[in-house]
Amino acid sequence: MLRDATPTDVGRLYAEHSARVHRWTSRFFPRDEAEEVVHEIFVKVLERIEGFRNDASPTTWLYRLTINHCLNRLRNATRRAELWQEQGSAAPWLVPTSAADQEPRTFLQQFWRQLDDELVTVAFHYFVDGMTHAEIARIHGCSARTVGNRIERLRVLAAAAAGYTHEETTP
Amino acid sequence: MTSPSNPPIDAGEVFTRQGHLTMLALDRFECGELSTAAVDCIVTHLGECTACAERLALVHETPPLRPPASPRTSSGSRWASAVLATGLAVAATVALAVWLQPQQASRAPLNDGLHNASAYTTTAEPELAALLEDRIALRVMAGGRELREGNRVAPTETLRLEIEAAAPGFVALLVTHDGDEDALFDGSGTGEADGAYAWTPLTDVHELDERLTWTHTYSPEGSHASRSTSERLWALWCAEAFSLRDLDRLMQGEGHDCVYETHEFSRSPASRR
Repeated sequence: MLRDATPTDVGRLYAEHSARVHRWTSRFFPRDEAEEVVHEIFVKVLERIEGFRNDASPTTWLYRLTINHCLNRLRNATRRAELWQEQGSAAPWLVPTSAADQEPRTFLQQFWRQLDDELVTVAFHYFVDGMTHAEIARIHGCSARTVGNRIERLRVLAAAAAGYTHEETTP
Repeated sequence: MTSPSNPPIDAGEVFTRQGHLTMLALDRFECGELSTAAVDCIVTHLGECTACAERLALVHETPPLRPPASPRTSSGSRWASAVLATGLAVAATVALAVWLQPQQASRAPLNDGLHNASAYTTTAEPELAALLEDRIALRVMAGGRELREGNRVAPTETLRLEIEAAAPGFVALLVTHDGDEDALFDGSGTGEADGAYAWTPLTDVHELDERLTWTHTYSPEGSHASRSTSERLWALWCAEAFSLRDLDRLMQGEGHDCVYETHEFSRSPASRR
């Protein structure tokens, strides 16, 4: 579909996927802002259309681009300050999906801004999307083992943070 | 976890760890991007799982997005214009190539002590403006000659930078070094490429009527004085006032109506005038 893509193809991509991308961005931002973010994302789509060419799934490519862009936008210092005012320190996208993995989720809630981009993105797919290592690996173009290592690293950080908090709050 | 009945597909590609279909799988299902085996698996699951069937209904109900129709400086406008103008795709590719260049640098702590600069002066001689199609021009002078892209200069040579804008705005000067381990730091949280790069501001943000002139001296220490490095100067211009804290975002074209100009050369002990 996207081989030898042109801006016209990007236009078609926009027609076919913009509503979907908007649904994804709405997980992170209020409606109006989410729409603006959609347009930002399609600017990136145009810039990176060469990267589209050999991708078997435009939806997967767009999804990865969207999640990365949204997380990076949230990390922006100005936006971070606004969110801090609006919602406290909570990560707005970190909505509960299950009681499992509570400790890493709590850790993410508190420290996600301090983690590197790749770890946060992998953590998003794992803890928010509930994806398996294999699916995350497919999206990121890495091995499932690499994804597993990232998740394990997050668990270690979470445990360390929990221990630190416990010691600090125990008389 | 619900096991898919059709073994040719990898269940991990469509199911969450809790045994439901991932939202991405539902979207790909909706777009017809999945294999026949995966589609069969999903259809079977949807017949058994009301939660996933309801989520698929949400996918169906996604309202169409309004077409972009924003002010000139908004992303929507930029996107719409870009789609209409094939040439912009080429420009974006070139800009992206420029943008990616400093990401090749190594990760190391910032060392502000390597740079110093004199006070700036402004003039009202828009000599370059007539030559501009873009809104900003960066000219780099060394010892009375204008440096061209890729020229070499001595490691400690003082450069004179001239920045001229075709419209009033605000400007900051930045520098990045490639191949100098101590001159760069890891600029995190920027873009998908997630490379290591950072802007070392030479100036604060200055209001620019027509031209900004700045003298820049690089003061390498230790082994840096005898090593060749690639130095790239950047002039970031925005129509609105901005903060250096927002550099990463602004250099990616977010938030303000901003453009940048860049000039790369090498600092080499073997440089000859």
